[in-house]
Amino acid sequence: MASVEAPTLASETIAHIGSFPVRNTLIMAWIAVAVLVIVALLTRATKYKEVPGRFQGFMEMIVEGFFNFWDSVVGDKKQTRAFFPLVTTIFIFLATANWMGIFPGVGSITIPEELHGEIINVPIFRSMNADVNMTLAVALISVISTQVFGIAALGILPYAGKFFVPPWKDPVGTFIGILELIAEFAKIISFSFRLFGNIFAGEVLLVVISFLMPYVAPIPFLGLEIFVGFIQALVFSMLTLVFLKMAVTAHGGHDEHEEGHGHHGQLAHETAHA
Amino acid sequence: MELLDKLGINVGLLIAQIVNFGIVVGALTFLVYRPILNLLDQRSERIRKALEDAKKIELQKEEMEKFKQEQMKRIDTEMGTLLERGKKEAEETRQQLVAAAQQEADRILKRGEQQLKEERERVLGEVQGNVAQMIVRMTEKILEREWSPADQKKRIADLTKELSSSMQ
Repeated sequence: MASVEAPTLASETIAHIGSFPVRNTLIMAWIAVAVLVIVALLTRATKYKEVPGRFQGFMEMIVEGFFNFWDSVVGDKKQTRAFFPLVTTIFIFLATANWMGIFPGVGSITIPEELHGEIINVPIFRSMNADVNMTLAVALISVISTQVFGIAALGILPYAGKFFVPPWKDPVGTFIGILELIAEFAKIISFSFRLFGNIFAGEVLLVVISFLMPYVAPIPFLGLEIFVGFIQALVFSMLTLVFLKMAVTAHGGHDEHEEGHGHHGQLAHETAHA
Repeated sequence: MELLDKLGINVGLLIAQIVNFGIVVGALTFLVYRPILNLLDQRSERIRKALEDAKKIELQKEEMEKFKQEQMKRIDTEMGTLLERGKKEAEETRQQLVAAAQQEADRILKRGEQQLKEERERVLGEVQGNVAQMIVRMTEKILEREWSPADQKKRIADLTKELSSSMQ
């Protein structure tokens, strides 16, 4: 009886381009990119007619649906428009990659590879987000974009004022500012490990279930992975959106912004706990 | 560092993934989001305009309807007065005509009557003349034939007797 070959924490290198290691997760990322670029090109091929065909209608429905959904959170069409490309792409890219992770062949097509002096079988495909590199990259993009949007909306000094408050003016504010600063870095960690943890756990779960009972039994878990993939993509994009909204809103300590800020902060908290 | 190694973190891979994400963002933004959002905006703008136009047209139609009604009413009253006047004129004309005809008829009748009378008188006169002549002639003839001297004598005697009796 064969033993379970559970996926390792790190993704496996299956080839090298020069000194650049091509990981199995990167292959999946490239496939996801290719799929989405093809969809984009197909959309362009519709010529964006005033009277849409079926495919164009479908794409319009998706774009409009996302726009209305994000706008229900942001509550400002102009801001929603600015955040739209980043947030929607995060959702679509992560959801596509997550769903591609349950295709047959992902994790099961292997090539022999030498690792630490011994030959082991390494899968060619591995779900993209079951690799910290991939999730960390998207998390960095999300958090850095948040800072960029914040500075663009408020100016560099008022934005910095959210984190650096002189102690002789407001000692409590100074402390909160430091916490906020730490929170920004914590966001990177929480973003990348939440997604990585969920998808990696799903991969391991599927491998274990498939090993224990290869037929029928994995089906509910495949459904579960579809759901988890959707939810994680939604959480990632929604949190990004909320952080973006908070970043472009002036400091919540004073005037009429307090209520709105408090509301969004609470929403962010709830989503973070999800 | 050992943790990073265990997780397989590699700066090259990070950058590769950031590039991947950038490609996806670029492709989707320029080929999907922006054109479709613009299209949707244009469409809703067009719909808004069309609705506004429809409302405007509706209003214009209403105005036209009102104007038409007014015009119709005006024409109606005008027509009424015109008709009334026409009727009156026609009546007048009819009366004039009737009166004239009556006069003419009277005139013709009178003339006819007179002619008739004249004719009758003439005929009567003629007939009277003829009859008198005929009587005279017939009387002559009868007298010539029937009236004998004995008769004459007898007649005279009768007359005398009558006269004398009436004178007493």
